[in-house]
Amino acid sequence: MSNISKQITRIVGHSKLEIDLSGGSIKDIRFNINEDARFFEAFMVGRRYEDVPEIVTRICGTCNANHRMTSIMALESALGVEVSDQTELLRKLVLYGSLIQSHMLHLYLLVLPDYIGADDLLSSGKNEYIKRLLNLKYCGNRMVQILCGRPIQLIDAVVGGFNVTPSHRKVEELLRIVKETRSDAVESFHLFNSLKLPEIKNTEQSHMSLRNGSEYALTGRTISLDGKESFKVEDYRSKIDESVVPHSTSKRCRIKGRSFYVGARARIRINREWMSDESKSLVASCESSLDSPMGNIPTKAAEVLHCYDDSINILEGMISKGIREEKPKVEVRAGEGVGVTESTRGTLIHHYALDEKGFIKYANIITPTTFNCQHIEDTLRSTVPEILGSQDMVFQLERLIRAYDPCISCASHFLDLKMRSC
Amino acid sequence: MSGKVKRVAFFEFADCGGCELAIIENAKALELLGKVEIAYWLLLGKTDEGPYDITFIEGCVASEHDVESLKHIRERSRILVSLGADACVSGIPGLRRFASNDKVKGVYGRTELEQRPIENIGPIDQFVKVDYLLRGCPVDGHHASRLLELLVEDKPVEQGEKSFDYVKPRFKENNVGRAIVLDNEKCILCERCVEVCNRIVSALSIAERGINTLITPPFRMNMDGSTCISCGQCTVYCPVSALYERDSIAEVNRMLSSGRPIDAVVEVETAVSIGEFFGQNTRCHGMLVDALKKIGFRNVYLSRSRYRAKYLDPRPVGRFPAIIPCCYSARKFVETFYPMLRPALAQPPKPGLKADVWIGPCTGRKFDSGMTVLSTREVSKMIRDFLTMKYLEFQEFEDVGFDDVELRELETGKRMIAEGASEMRQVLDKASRGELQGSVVELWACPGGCNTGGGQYHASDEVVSRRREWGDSMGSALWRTRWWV
Repeated sequence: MSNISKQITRIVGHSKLEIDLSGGSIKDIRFNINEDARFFEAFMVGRRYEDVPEIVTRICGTCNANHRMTSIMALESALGVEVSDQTELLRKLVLYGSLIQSHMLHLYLLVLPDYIGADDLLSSGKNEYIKRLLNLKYCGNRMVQILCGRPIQLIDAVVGGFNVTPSHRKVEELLRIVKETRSDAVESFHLFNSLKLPEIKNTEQSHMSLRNGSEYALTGRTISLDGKESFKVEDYRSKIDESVVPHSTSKRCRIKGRSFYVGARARIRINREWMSDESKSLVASCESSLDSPMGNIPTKAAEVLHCYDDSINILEGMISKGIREEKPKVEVRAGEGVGVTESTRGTLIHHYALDEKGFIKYANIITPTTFNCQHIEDTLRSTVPEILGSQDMVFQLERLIRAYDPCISCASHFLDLKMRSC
Repeated sequence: MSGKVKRVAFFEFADCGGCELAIIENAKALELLGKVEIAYWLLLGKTDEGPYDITFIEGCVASEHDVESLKHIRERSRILVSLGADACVSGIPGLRRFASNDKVKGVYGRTELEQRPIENIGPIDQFVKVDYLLRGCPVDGHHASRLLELLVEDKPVEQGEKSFDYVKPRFKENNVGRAIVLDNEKCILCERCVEVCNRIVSALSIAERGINTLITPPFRMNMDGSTCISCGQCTVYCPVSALYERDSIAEVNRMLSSGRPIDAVVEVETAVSIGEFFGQNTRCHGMLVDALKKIGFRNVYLSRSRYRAKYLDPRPVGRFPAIIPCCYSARKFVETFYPMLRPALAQPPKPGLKADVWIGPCTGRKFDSGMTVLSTREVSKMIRDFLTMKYLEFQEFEDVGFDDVELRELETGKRMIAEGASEMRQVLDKASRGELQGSVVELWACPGGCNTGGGQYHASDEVVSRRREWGDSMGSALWRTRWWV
């Protein structure tokens, strides 16, 4: 049997699956991330703190809003900036918008072709799916655009708040769009829940997500592991072990020697009680998928519906309460801060230290795909022996990796352990 | 090659992937992509080997592996397009060049990576020939779909469109006000109009960024809907005449050719400055009269201050002075910025002389006057055209007097004159505080008065003072008694 080396397609970025079969048995299975290293943490050192959101936004085109928001929160905690409740709500909306568009892009464009027997969505002739995807993406993009100026590489969210406060009319427009496209989100869930997903077991199941005890946490200061153990976000270094492997430009993370999963499934497991009523019932209808890696697909669609429901709540509250004009206020000082958000693909950590003039002394970013990499590899290890030799083995494995929605361009921006001393 | 379906490929190197998304989110681009064969695009699961007709490359070249595959891609591609800032100028990943080397090396520790990064990280065209550049971070979906459309349909990409960054978008319609026209197509974004307007009413400003930058009234309003008072100072300063007064020459020519006798009334400031256009350093208002008569006017009157006084109906209201907005622009200035003084405004002037065409130094007059209005610039253009047609020189006109030659006595009294926005603001501030009760205030919108009006030629201080001197002797602006300052 020959070795297998396959470029994984239909994920964001470059990665390879390599299975070493020399001598007739499985010697090694590697999930090989071969995106170019980009050294974000290295070249951010020595720049002013204002540059950071602009730079990290460009780490990834799909989750740029999450990177920006997380870096802003980290810098705010370093600079001791307090933001108003309104800013918190607006940020939540931006995160929801990003989540909606990114989940839907993944589900429709990257995942769906595997199950409808098409090579890709654009040439599949399923125009109703394309239309629904565009509707949902329009809603998510418009949400980000109205609040932050642009749908991709947003600009108006800054340290201390927002450059521009949305007008009453814009908020009403947003509410209208969200209400109009909500039915598309419900239909999407039913579509993805009806897919025949292969059963893949991963014996070791551990989940990590933010949990703040009062809402479906997208931001917060406490990270929870399986809903049992929890630790402060500042302690992430001591809790999470990182290691470098030569075959990948992404580091590998473990907690107490075990791989863990971050993402929609983890969020729902840990924060389920605060989901909206209808999305809760949707989750209940796909209960079993919460345990399987393939279950990412329906749970993501259920999460999108929660985003819709909560967005409607927030927007209606804003319209009835009115929107205050606010300007960000920042005083520069030395400090160190960690910011954590739940981005589309899971927990995203940004960590910066500033000197007294506001220049970056130290930077560290850990992306969800970095967390998930080890979990993907572990799942592959337990799956490959079961399906070894079957005709469509590579297709099955590829489909499994796709379900994780790894974002390779995020993962390969590089992490730095040694820079702490500088 | 029109019959064959194009093979399109999308590659990416060190990048964020945002430009691909910008294309996917553009409905037109999606429609076009449905018509072509996508040969290579990892995001859509296509991994065909070449050759490709059109190849888009996103991201900058960051590792040895990238250099090799880029050269390979170039060999198999007919047209290569750099997509986005990373591919065109190496963008954010390119910042690595400016980071100190030991910091970059510190990232990996000692681990040797299979994907070895290169030192001279750079844009695509540093390594291979690139046919088209699409700039932006992320690229504009409309630009991308436009280029894709041209390439797919084998249409020639215009020279200007080769790098979209340097070509401004096409503006279909001019912003036409009743007096001032703004043509963004001609505009070179020198911002002189913005500067001059900021000293008056700040009606013009810069909007948008990058290639979409344009000069416009706020919120892309119509000129008349904004705070523009049609004073025309921007038209004097615009070096490429992207801002110009609305042309009345055609209308006047039509009137003249209708056979009906047409009378013109000429403002003093035009009479004294008309020679400048024809290189005359002497007073030549007589020649202007002759020229106008030869062009076809019946009577040519000189408008003087006395007439203006007659037109208006000053009436002090309460604690406010009587305010005579001598030009339309001044009236709109008061109405826009000092609405509480509205009741004190005198009624709009009614023509005292029976004239059809008013020739003056003003563009604001085009707005409110019942007459057809020619500015100094327009009338000199008319005369030039007439001279060209008849093979004449300006000097050949005779010195003819105005038809209405009677000089009137000047009124004296407590009148104040304010010229230009800053003076108007000073006076109107005083007026709104009630400090000028019982007096009469005259307002002129253009800074420096009608001699430097919006319909005049831009002139040096020397020439302007000459205009003023000559004008004074003809009965212009003789109420220059600024006792209020």
